[in-house]
Amino acid sequence: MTKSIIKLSGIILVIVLLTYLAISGFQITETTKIHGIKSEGGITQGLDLAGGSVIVFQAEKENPTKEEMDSAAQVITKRLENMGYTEADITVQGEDKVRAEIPSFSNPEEAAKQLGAMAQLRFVDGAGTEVLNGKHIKDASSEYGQTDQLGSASYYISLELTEDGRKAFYDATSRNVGQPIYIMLDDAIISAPTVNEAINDTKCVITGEFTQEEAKSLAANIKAGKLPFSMKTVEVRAISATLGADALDKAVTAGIIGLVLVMLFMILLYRLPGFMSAIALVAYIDVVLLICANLHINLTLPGIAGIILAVGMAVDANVIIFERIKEELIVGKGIRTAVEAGFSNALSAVIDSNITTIIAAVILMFLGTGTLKGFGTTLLIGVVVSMLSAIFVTKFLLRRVLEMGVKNIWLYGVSKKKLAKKEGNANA
Amino acid sequence: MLKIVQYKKIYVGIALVLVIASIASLLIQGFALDTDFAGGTAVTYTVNQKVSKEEVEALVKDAFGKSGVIRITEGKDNTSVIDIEVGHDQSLSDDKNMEKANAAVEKLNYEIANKWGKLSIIVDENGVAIPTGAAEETTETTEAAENAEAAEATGEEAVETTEPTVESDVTEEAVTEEAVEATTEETAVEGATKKASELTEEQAKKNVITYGDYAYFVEGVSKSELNVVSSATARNLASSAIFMSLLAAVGILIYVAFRFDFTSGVCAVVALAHDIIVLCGIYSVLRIKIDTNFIAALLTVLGYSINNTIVIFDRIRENTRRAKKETYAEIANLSINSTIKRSINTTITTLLTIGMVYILGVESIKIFALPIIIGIFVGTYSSIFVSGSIWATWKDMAVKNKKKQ
Repeated sequence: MTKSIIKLSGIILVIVLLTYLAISGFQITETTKIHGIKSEGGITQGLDLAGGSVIVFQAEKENPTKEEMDSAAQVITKRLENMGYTEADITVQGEDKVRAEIPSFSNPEEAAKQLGAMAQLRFVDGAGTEVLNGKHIKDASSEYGQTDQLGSASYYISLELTEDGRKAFYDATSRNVGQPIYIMLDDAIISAPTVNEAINDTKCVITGEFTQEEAKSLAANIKAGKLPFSMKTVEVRAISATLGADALDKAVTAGIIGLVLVMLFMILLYRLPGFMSAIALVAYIDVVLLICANLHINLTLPGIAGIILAVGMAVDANVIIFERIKEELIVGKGIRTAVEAGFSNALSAVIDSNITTIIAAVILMFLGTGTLKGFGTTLLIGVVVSMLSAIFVTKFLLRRVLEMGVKNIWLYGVSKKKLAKKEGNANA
Repeated sequence: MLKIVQYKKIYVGIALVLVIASIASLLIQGFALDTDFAGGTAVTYTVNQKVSKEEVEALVKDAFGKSGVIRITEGKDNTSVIDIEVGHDQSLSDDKNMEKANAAVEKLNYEIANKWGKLSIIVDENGVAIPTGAAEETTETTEAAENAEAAEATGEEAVETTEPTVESDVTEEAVTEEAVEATTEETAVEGATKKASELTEEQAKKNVITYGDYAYFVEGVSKSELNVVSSATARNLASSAIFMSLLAAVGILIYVAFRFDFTSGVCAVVALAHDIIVLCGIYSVLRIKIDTNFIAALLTVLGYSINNTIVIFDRIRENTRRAKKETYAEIANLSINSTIKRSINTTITTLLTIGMVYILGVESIKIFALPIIIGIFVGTYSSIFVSGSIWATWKDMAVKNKKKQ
């Protein structure tokens, strides 16, 4: 009895702490931190909440290779950086699309026009004349080693030129010994190496005090610059932050009211077990929020709807179980047996009914884009966590209550009158 | 005990009528498609004063060269929200349409701000207007600075040589693309100016529009939402929606067939098909527009509506094991009745939450919640009144056939 009270208070304390953790987070050491919804760097808001723009580009080429698409994404990233949007998130979408999500930017029309144009790689001499362009370059890679006998090993870029490129480059380097040649991607200089000697070879190197990262990124940029296709815009979207903030506020209010209503409903209908499931529901919300905050799940508006929807679904498992317990009680079983039987008999229904929702959520998560993905992710988390909390947390709580000797059958949702009436024909 | 299986002709009949009516509506008038599915431009502006529909119509016609659907709602504090939807031109290619839409939105940004807001042309320190593209550079990490950085990294001083190339390139692009509008509009903006250096980073990202040759700082008007979708993307979305739904249905069929039996699997999917068709039918009849999130709602309904069916089948499975001489119809009816309370209660809890989202949420989330709500109703009906009855009929018929042989 005392032991049960301690255990019960223990788990309630754990849930209270969990709630605090889910809201504020906790700094463990200087570098490790458990994020809550309010802690910085926790929840990442999707563009529909934070405001921002999405531009989707499609390659103007049939069946581009994965490598080409990665280069294309590189080009877009570089261009956005040049325009000052360093926080943009650029991903390859499907087989031939690049999706650029740019936070807090609400006028994407101009950007869409500039970003999609074919990347222009040019080698320009001091006088501004173009000496080479993307067509002349066969390959570029970053390498590590000595480039001359005297120097120490360092990172450099190895260039391979076409035959035409060799000729043009020989001309240019002969004229510009001791002068820099500017390597430009679009309108930005990405490197300006000095010509040490006239080069008459299809292979040459660019040296400098590069770090490994710099060399790699420069090579990637040069390669991206020889991207043989331009990108056309197929989708341009923008949403203002005010609209998003309003949406978030309203969704959170709806969630809280919905949660309270469900709790009341459960308590009214199932009394003591209902109360336990209400407590378990708090644990469910805490865990879902902690997962979202710490796995940095991109929370979109449909994503929030997914979490709220899952609250309603979360208690489904409890409804199945509690109805079962009632039935067992009506059949005349003792409370303890009825509870245990209720849980074990309902288990298969709980699992089977949730798995179909999981199937749908997984499909949305993997095949959907944008908000569909966000919704699929939170729905999946919601359904899985809810199932676990409904089964384990509620069961744990109910067992403790049973151990404390709460035996009044009314508290378990069955009236004595009903029990007496049904007792006669229970087995019919 | 409710006689559900006994009255299956009525209940299944109702479902059948709904399905046929839905299919008829879908075939005859199809869906009302949102920009996501139809392709086109949808843009929303918030203006700090009252506007007239006619004036907006004129501006839209001028910018797009065709009229669109315009909706004006009055917001709080005397603001107006202007929703504009313009479809693509069927005679033009996708690329042309996208280009056209982009240019039209730029023009509309400018015209609406010119009419109901305050436009200030962005100028440099000397009061000279900065050409398009360069405006962002001055306020953001400037390109020149970045160039210098790049040059520094390689130990060179490159800044001076880069400037001319940058400038010439930008003007060239702007001139070829928008020469016509630029010449006609240039005179209209003399007057208000805003120094680029005075813009905060926030303002540069949100309050600056570009039009013709120049960039402008806008006050009093804001674009709250923009969606420009190419026809190809819209078609892809539709096909991916169908693909995802079929995949989900097949996944569920396999799972149910595996966990229960093939008959149950088929019955579950029949109920599922009913839910999806009726949901789509309601959307078609009521002309509610479907957008990307409709797919999410559709899949949620797919996963969730079967929930009730499975609980019933689970009980049928259990009761079949215990049964001695009862017919399948009797087993099914008993099972439906003993799970009906839970079916209704779960439906209520789910409706409580998603219903709150619908009542309190903003427009875009309402659109998302509504099909889920409808789907839950339809799904609960099919679970209780359709799937069990079909299953029992099939099973009993199989028994009869066996006896005949």
